[in-house]
Amino acid sequence: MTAVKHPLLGDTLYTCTHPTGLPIVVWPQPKASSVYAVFATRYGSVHNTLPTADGGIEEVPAGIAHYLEHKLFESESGDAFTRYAKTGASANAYTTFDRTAYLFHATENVLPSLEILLDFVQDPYFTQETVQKEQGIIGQEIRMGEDQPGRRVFFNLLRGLFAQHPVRIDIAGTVESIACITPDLLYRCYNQYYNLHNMVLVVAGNITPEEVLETADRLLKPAPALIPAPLTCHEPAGVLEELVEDSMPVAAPLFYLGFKEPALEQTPALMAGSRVLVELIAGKSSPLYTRLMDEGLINDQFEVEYFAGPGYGAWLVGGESANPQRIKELVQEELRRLQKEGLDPAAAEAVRRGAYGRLVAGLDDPSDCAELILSHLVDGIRPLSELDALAAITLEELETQLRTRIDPDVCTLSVVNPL
Amino acid sequence: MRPNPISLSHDMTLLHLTEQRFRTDRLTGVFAVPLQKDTAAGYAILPGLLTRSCEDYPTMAAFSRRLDELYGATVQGHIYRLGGWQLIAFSISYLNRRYTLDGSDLTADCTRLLLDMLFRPVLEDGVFPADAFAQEQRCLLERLQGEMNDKRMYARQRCEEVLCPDHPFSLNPNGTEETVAALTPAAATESLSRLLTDSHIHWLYQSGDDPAPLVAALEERFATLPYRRPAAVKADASFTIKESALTEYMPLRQAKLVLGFRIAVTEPEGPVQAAQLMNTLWGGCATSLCFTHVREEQSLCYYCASSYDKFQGVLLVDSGVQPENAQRTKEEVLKQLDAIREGSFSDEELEAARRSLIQRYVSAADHPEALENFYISQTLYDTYRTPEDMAQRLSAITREDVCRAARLTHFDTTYLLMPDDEEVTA
Repeated sequence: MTAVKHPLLGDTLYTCTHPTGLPIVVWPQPKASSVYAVFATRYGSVHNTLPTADGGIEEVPAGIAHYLEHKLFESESGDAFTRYAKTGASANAYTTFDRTAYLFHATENVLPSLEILLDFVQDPYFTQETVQKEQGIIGQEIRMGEDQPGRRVFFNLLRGLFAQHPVRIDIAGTVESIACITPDLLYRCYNQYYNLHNMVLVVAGNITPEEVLETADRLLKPAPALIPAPLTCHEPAGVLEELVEDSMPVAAPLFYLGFKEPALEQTPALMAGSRVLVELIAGKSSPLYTRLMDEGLINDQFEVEYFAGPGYGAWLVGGESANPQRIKELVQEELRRLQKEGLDPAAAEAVRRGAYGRLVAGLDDPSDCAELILSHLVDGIRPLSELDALAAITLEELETQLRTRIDPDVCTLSVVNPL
Repeated sequence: MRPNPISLSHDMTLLHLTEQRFRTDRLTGVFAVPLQKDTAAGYAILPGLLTRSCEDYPTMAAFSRRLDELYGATVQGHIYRLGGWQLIAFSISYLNRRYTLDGSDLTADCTRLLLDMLFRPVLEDGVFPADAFAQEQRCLLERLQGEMNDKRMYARQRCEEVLCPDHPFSLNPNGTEETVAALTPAAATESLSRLLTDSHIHWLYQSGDDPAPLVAALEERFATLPYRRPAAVKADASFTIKESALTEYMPLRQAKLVLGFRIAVTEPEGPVQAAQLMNTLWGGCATSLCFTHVREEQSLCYYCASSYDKFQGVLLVDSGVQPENAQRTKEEVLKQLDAIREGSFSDEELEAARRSLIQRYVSAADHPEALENFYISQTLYDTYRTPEDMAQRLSAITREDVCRAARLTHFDTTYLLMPDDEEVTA
């Protein structure tokens, strides 16, 4: 494995592409008590198609990536949780828009746990009976989500922002869509997307690269170099709807305001820019935040974030407010002002330094370290290069990004009103 | 690493966790007061009021800018409930000097900032300014009103209210809409004074540095107070079983079932580890009896989890289910408790629960906030066991200890939050 000492953190990361095609990153932390390992595929809810035998494209039921995640834990000889129970590792999995990840956190029996992880993820086993059984469980997960207003207001926003892109589809699907999932479809999705060349393994904590590699050598199965074609989507530049309203049993209106970004290939500089710009636009030290708070428009639930993945991107502000429309006007006004007048250099420098510090501060726990590396790999950038970019980004670069990445007029407001 | 408790003057304790593995250092002050209906709101508004400014940085923008300059130092204020106590915690975490880009040491500046929040808040005519107060009062009120948005938490809270009526445990540590609305700037200022004089104060310091400068800074600030008189710690976990049931309705897609139990096993004297292991076996891990039988075998739910409050002797089991399955789910959960009482579980199931619990304790040592929470829960009784100590104690718990803990568990309350148009009850 190649060892690279990070100049700012002083830690050494070990990376390689395993002969089976799997990229592996190991971040040894000898003082840690635990080890966190995550084995992930670049397959999430946005990857909603399969190639057909005649060279065409077939759309698959919404929620199938998430369904597959649930079912992969089962094999012919039992389920992975039962195997992990013998090692004491805390295991889990999650599906997002652009990835499915299987993970464990362990303080003992680390290598047997790593064996389980590498083994069950490569060993799909789906039958009509087991697939059927999961519908009750996932059905209740979907119902639970339907009762969560924060989730509703977010997905409504995505449906307003994007006309075509599959990011507008709920990750878990619907009770109706998951009813169409069959073992055959699951196998086809698995074979298409769970190819080691399309996957990554990241391990952080009290472990050595040799230990990881030795286990990988024994467990990984050679795979043909099949990398799914990149997602293609003809998403228009504008939004589908400027306002999406809904109602639920909530105390006060919840809102999300999203500014659609042209689809960009993520780079370290863009990721660093996003972290700094969200704070400069509407973070707690910004004039806009003070104004919104002074006018009684927001409370401490207010948040601002950048959201992106393959073929989509958006700048989001959200929270609880009696007057979301007024917030939209004030955010647009502030964006126009900042684009015209430029950024306050002292504020930009303070926020850049703060963003750098918060990113480093978030790297204490092996799980946080491994998840950051995973994000960087899925986004196609060198591990930790976002941190380097944050240390180096200039005012000019930030101002350029502010003017080219955000159009104050291309936005959607999603509101969930009380009943 | 064993924590080092240091007795300070003014009835305070500093728990020094000499961690050098983290990239951040962290200082937290934990102030414990009895949880009471008429004082809870006054204390609950303080995190909002104190973490937004101080005399040297008198606006939210200036204060936030200062935190950015300190490499994104993070200031937090939290309200917790621990049994019948209200805990108000203020913390600052900041980069260790090994990681600042210019090598600067932030310790002195960050310590001063945290103490300035408490001792040099922005006041006008001796009280919190009316505009800042009004903002924080509104935020707290809206947070309370917004609690209904999370239906799972809301249902658990309602179950606790039915399970422990007229007991501090069932009070909301953030106050009520009425008590928050009745607050004034003068009352909030008075709450701050009382917090400093009347609370039990524990400081937790995670840093490889010598704590002497911090000890001196803390003692110097507290020497300015007229007196310190913390209330005596007394626990009341007594109960009688009422067998209550309450069904409420809301426009929902899924019913939320919460079952409330009492157990006469509490800190500091009870066999708490046995009850914790019993809880984990019942519904506290991915191989628990509830997870295996209610979710995996019967596909009744996505979650069916139990939790144990070791200070109050309260166990809750909750699940999100289709309304028509609520009764069946309840029966299945009770059946699993009976199984533990009778010892009808395998050694593998018990050992899996034990390993899961030990793993949770030991891995907390890798995260500054998780480690802090682990010790905060021990501050009430000044018993500072390490995660490794807890693992060792858990290793000694026998199968019979677990069965006995289950036999000491009494079912009391069924709370059901139902979709509006459903008639079914559990």
